[in-house]
Amino acid sequence: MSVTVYIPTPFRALTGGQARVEIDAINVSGLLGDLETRYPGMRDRLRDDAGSLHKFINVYVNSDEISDLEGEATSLKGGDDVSIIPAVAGGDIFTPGQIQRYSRHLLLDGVGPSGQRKLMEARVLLIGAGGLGSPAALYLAAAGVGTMGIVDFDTVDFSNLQRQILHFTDDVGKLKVESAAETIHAMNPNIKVEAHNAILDSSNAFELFEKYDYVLNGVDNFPARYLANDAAYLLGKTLIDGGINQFEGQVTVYKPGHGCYRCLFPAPPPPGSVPSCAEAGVLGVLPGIVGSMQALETIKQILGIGEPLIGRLLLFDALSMEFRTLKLRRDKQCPVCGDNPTITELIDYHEFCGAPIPHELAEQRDRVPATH
Amino acid sequence: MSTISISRSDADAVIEHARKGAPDEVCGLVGVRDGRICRLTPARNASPTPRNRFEIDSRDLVQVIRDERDGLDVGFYHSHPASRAYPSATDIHFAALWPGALQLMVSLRNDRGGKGVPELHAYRINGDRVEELRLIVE
Repeated sequence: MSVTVYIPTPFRALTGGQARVEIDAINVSGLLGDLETRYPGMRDRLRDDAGSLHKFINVYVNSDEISDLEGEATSLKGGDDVSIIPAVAGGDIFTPGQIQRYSRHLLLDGVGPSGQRKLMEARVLLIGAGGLGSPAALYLAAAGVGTMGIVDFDTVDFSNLQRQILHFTDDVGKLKVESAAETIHAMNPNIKVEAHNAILDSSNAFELFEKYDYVLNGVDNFPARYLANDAAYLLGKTLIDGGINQFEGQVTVYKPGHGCYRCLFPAPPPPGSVPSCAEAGVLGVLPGIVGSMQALETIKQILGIGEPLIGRLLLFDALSMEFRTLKLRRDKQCPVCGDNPTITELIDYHEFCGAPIPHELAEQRDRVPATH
Repeated sequence: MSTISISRSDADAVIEHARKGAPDEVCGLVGVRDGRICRLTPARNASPTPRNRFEIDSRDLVQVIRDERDGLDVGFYHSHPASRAYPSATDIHFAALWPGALQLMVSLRNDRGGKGVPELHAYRINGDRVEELRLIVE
């Protein structure tokens, strides 16, 4: 039985300009098959490689779309009108809410809509939700960095609140990654936070780093610092590094091929010779400044703008309020990134640094690293 | 620059549709004859994420056949509630399904809830090429 098929304007080049063709078919499937045989090129316009109808192709029998009937099995009777109509769709890059939220970025040369898109598609891993990770996470979230992984094993303690601005008094006792996720979502609900409640160690570093574009280092001990350096280099990831000690801070960006932490410090200091924040104290605002600079360098990396701190170590003295920059060069003798590397896989960093293994790490060995 | 004309009442109707739908995007069909938009058919936006997407509901898309049967060229309109009335990358991507069709776009970025200035522009999109038409409201 003969039915009339309406051919939409975009497809008429295939039918020699004909807007309507008559086809004998008992159902839609047979009709489309006939069309595809009759007009070379029609199949590609209608179906994907697997043979399914493209989702942006609507087929109507009289006035009903076949997905509301019986799909391609929909039967036809003489005199039916079949119409093929491509979807009409589109849309803005951003939602109105995003346009408002990021308006100062969208106006800015160097960011603009394409830069904001890059930020929203970026994936950054923060090691540590402490002094450095807190301001970094907040600024990255505010800027719209789409996905942030946070790895930390600790719980919030009262002594953290003097500088770790991801955590509030009510958060004491909570897992840091949970408290961090809550604060980030309160700041910007569009951000996806991937909380990794684990100690970063040689067994999980690759698995964690691999999923992210950039790694922002906010660790507070030498074994983790060497581990982060080696893992980032071996995976070809850029590491945005920061460190603080009492009244002084430092920031740099290690991009593979341009030197690494080991080029600067091939070996760790003797155990106990450099006190930690917990032992020596740290000025509360200092990590805010250093972590914010790490966030800034991360955003510059994502956007590809400015002069990154690659090959330069920025030193900050909070008491004299002076910044100094030291040039860093890749060391050809570096055991990790040198010409003849001796470290080509992750090692035991506690043994390397001569530090006792923290009991949490020993505990973690007995369980699967939590990633959720 | 080619020209296209629209009546004041149809232009107002497109803008009013956009205002009513904001902050979501709205969409519809236009029928064109002799360089003049002479039919306007608002449609439902079937996108599950209408804040920055539109997809003319398939139940409303059958208007295409009626417009053509009446000898009209088929075109479309949609709104950008917060950004300029210019085809986005997504708009251009989907316009490939209707090359050369008239695309009327309304922006409410400076509309300030009806107290400001809405913007109305017309384009034809062929592949990556976006041609703006001179839109005459009369």
